[in-house]
Amino acid sequence: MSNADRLRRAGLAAFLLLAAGCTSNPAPNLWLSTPKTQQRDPYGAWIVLTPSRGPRVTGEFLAADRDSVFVLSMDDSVRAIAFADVKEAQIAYYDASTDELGVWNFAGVLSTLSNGGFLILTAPMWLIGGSIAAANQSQAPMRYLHDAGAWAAVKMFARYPAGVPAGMPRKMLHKT
Amino acid sequence: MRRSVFVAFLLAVIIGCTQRMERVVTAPTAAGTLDKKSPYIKVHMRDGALYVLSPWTWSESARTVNGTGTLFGVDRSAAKQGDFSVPIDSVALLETNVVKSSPSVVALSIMSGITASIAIYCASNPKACFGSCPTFYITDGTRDVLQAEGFSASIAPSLEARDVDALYRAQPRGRDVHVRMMNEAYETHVVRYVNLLAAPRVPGRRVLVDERNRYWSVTEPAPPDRCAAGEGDCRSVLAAFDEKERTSAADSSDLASREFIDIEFASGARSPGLVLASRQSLLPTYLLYQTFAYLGSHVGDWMSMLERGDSSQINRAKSAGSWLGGIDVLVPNASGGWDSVTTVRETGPLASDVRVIPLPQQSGTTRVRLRLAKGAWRIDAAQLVSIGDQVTPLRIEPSDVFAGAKRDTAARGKLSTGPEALVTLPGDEYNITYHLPGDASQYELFLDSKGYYLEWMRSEWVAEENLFGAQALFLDPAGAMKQLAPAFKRVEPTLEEAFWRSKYVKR
Repeated sequence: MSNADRLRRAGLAAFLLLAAGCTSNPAPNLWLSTPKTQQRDPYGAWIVLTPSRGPRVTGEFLAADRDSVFVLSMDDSVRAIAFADVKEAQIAYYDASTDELGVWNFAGVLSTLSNGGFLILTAPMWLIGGSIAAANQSQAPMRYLHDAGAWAAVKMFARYPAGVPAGMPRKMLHKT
Repeated sequence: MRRSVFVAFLLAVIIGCTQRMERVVTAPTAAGTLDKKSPYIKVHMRDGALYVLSPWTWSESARTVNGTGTLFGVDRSAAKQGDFSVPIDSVALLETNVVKSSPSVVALSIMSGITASIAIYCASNPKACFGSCPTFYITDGTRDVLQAEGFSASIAPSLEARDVDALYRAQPRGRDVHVRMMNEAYETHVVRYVNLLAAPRVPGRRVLVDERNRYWSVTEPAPPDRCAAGEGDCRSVLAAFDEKERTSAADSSDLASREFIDIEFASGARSPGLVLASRQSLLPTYLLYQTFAYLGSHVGDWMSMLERGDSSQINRAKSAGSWLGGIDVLVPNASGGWDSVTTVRETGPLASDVRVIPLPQQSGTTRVRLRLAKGAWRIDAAQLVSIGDQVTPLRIEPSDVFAGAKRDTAARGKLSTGPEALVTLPGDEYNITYHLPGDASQYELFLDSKGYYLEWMRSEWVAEENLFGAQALFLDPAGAMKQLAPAFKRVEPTLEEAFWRSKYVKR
């Protein structure tokens, strides 16, 4: 195998490691922002619900109250799904900026070309360590739910963490 | 400089963007425990409204959350902006969010620090970077040993050349000879062919090649009886080809300054021949890389001139390169002086090559003087043989070639004599097998390679661009040797270690 082949394979390995380790944020592009901006955002997190039956429900996480989860869909309607009907849920409450980390990681792998023979140590360090770091960062804003009884732990990411307010409209404009 | 600023800016942006947020939701009854580090507080009201305040304070005595910000309605439309004092008894929950550095950023920062430290170490001695053409490893009977480096002087297509190296210490068993060819430097190698030359030998004799590529059957080499150099007696170190080399330091004021080694063989010999096992030091490598550094971004222009056959450029390149010279072999003349017999010019700092230099017959003691640039050569052995008949070696082409663990028939075709060439990149490795007509012990082996190589420019070199310096090297090499001496002396003690550390692939 020529060295060019080896470099190509190393690049592919790096990509696969990143792809395997990183979790893509399910929110629409620009819907969530970086932590600094998100800490003054008045809206709830993005939620993806996989019901036991029927299609997935996605939208802004409004509340988890009594026996149901409330979601504001992109068609501006509020939907309530019983906890018992939710097979699993995925919540994302900020943008982890893993793209930037990917750029850093890629640049790090390339920079090992300046390390002469030490590249044999530093290149794997970047491939493995960088992939773990990127995967770790991509997971930080995510919460997963597989148990109907676990909603109490994630309702803080809702628009109304204290529960559905009495006057909540059944239809309202979604965050743009 | 501009690139460093850009990289620093990019890193700052990435570090600034890559953060984490920790959210804490607090009941109104525990408002005293709110995290004051949070620049914003979100006050969730029982009716679904929300205050986002910054800056904010908690008043224990008034039981209010105070601050400046926005009141959002249930539908999150902004209802009011200004200063607010929110009584805690109408609050459903209090939310704080604290932004923290990501541990991933810390990990990548540490890795960047390690990589940068190593890069700085390598950059501090850029002219010690491992270089010099394809390297060939062959067994000495117990382990693979670096025994040859091919066409070291061929640094451009127009300088493509053939190179014959004696595999003097090779001791393969049976009829197959395995040669490992590697590209261990930041270079592109274009290998036209690599053939094995097998010269039939008889027991008790060896076969050696001279500077004109003639092969001679010779007696077993005998060590010198006297050897005197600047440092004193050098007899033991030059007695055998055993990796114990005679070296010296370069002159501190003129890199071209010469030194002498006087050698005597008491026994004399019929048709005497001096056997010299030698290789260059890192001084020529340093000068080559200094030339590239001075040319900087104009290296491409210069190489183009070489390729266009600009004879003045070729002559200048050769003049600068040859100023250090080779090892002049001198013998005494009748008038008490010394006459030059030949000059050994084998290029390359990696593997010692063995040559025989036919000497004129002397009565009684055979005396030889070696004249060479101080610090430019490493001599492993200087011995005496009697030269016998000329021998014609068999040319053997590769019978099998493996790239790593995979058989590579295309590479075999390219490494055989023909118009095609094998191109290798840093880290490439080929295992070549040659099939001899008889047992290896019946032959003296030589490696015949042809090709050229291209050095990869290093950014550290481009940063040193100085066309006046390059001009001085080409037009006034004698002056340049004096001018560069102090700079070389500063790095000379650490050059060897840095050179071997900078191999692209460590063995």
